[in-house]
Amino acid sequence: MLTAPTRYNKFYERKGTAWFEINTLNFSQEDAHKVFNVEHADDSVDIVCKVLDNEVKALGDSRRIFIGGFSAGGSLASHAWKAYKKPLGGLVLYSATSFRALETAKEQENSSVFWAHGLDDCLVPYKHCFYNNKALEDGKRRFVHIKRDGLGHGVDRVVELETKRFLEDIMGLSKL
Amino acid sequence: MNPMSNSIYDVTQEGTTITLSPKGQTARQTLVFLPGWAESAATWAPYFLKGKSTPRVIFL
Repeated sequence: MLTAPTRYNKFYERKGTAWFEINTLNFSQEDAHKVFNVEHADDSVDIVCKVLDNEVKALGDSRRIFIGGFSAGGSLASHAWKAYKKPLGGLVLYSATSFRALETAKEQENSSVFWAHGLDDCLVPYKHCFYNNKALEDGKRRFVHIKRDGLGHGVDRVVELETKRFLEDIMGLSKL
Repeated sequence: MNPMSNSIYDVTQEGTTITLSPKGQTARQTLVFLPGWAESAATWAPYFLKGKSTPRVIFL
């Protein structure tokens, strides 16, 4: 199965597609790793990495492959990005936290990061993600950060356009 | 043809996975995108379809 499995989630008290069980959204800057069930997340990373392997075979160059996601999907994407053993083009995070405690594979040291987040996001607060995501800005990689005043847990037209620009810049594509 | 296809993208669905492929050209890059909690590929495909971006996009 390539999509996220359906799980009961005790936080939401109902079933839904989920890459991992969400334990809590009441996390601080330092303990964001407690948000997810690590075992579930590792299983999901294996699934995602197989998809990445197939795309690398299809395009012939892992640096042409980007991984991204929204909210919990973004967190899982960052987990897979950190674990993947071939250099990827980049990571796209929408309204999501990465997990600082997870080691980033040396293969991603030049891989770019795009992080967009609404400052009015009440579900996954910007300030709680800042500590983890800014750790990805190490001065070696391209790091693009878009924070949107007035945007809640979601994306808008500006985020869409900036994502497009990010992908084009990385690939050196001409503007449409 | 998938009814979601437009002038930019061909849209194919395999199980719950949706792929957007740029029309008439070989994709130079691929974005593998993971929806959020209780979302599906169908939640996000329209967002990228209206954006006129050109990467191949795979929604898991």
